[in-house]
Amino acid sequence: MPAPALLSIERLTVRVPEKERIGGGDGDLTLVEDLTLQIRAGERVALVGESGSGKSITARAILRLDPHLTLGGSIDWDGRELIGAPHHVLRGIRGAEISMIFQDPMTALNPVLTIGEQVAEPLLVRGVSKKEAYRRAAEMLDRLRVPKAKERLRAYPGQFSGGMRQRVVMAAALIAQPRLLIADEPTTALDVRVQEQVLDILEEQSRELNLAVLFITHDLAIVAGLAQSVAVMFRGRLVEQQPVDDLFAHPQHPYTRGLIGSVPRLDADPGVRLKTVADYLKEGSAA
Amino acid sequence: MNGDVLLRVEGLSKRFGHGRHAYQALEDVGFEVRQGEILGLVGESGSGKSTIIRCLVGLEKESSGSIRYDGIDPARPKRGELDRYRREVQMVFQDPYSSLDPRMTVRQIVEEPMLVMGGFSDRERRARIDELMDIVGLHPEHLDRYPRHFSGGQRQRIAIVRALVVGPRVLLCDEPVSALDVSVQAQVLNLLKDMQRQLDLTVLFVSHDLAVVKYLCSRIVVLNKGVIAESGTVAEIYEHPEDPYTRALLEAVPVPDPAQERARRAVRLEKLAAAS
Repeated sequence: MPAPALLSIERLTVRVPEKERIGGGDGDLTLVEDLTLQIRAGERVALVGESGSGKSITARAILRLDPHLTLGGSIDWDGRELIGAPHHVLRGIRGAEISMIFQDPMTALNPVLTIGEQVAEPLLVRGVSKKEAYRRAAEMLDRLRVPKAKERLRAYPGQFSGGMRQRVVMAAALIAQPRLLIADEPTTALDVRVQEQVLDILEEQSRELNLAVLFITHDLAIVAGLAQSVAVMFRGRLVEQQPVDDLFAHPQHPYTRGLIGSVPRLDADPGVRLKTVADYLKEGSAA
Repeated sequence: MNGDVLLRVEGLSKRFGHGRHAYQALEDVGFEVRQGEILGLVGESGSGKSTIIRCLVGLEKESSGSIRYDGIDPARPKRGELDRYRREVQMVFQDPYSSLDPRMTVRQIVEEPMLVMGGFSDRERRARIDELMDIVGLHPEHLDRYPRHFSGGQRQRIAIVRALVVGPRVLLCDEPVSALDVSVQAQVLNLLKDMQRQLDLTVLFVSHDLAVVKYLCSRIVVLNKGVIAESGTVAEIYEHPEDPYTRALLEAVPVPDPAQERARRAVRLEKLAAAS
């Protein structure tokens, strides 16, 4: 029997209420419709889709980062309902039980605070002593293979490269020992070789710490080796979810086939014309 | 005719800043772009690939070295040559969200280069716009709308029309698909491929994405920190990369194959663990 879900999202809807709609428009605007998704302890799940598909909105809804949006359905975190949960409950969960990292490691870090202050902050705000918090910050940076971690605590984000910054962001996200990390396109701004290093470290930590990961991306190829399960979103809906090997071998939805097939590959014959996602969708509706 | 050198870059160097703070963005870079080919310029951020393009269109002034286009030296142009150079060498930028003026209609955007260059009658302008809009798959009624009404892929097609209305021979593309969603990336790549053939364009295509470059280009120049690591045909570079930098870039490209990716990661993680 499979382990019970750590996070269980049931029939989630996310709407922009009419009064919050930018530029007006009648009625509520639905961003996410009827989305069901489970994540077990230590499991790595990829949520894949393009801009506007609702993938980031879904991830942010888990931590209720967009308070102006209306949520429906259920988000069960380890036996507790998060939708409608009071603020102090959410505060206790954010960063401590569920952490999140974002696309751009420069804007995620405060340029005028030291690396140490920012990595240690989740512990400091929870009353851990400064000395202990900094010791653990150095330990966490070391875990994430930041060279000379102890000395780097006094450095500022501007002195770090993009890949190193994303490790710092990850260290801050992991220092309070969360059980789920939500990673929203964390490597999109990075060069391929740096991307590979960051993903390697992410997977290593996920295994060592039994850390569940919800990985948001538009790029199926980068989650091929990382995720155990892949969910695909299209226009606010989950169109399919499968174990990663099955998804790549037998994608069910024409949109998923399009996402896989429309990307140029190193091992493909450049003489063969690329099919676009629109081509796949057309074939799908014809069949 | 295919094969004649149309654009030649020789000994190009570019240094930003002075003294202690100087940064050498390009160092003695040289390559040729032949008539009718798509040449890929590949490298990571900071490799200098965008600086080359910016030097080519005059947005940056090279510190030393030379650019020759079909007999023209844009740094020392003879009478009328600069006009011809600026008409025949056009550019498509990376981000179609910032490269189109939000206060101009599509018609104003794509018409402007012809007005600036001059010499196009009302009828000619209209005919060229209609023809190109049709080729890139946009409708005539789109002309009266503003950029905000269009998706990223449509905006990039508008930017391509703007580059092509004055009838250039060379198109410089700086990461033209990297800001686009996967589903429109293929459309724009196919469009570039088609346009290149239909209009016999010569294209310099700058990209960090080796798979995209392989699909589109016939020859490739690999840049590493402002210096050319190697150059050659697609077959040479992809099948027998000589330079360790090229090999590292190729090895880091993720492939959409779970078993293969897991195996590669396991090897890397073992190495990491052994190193610490």
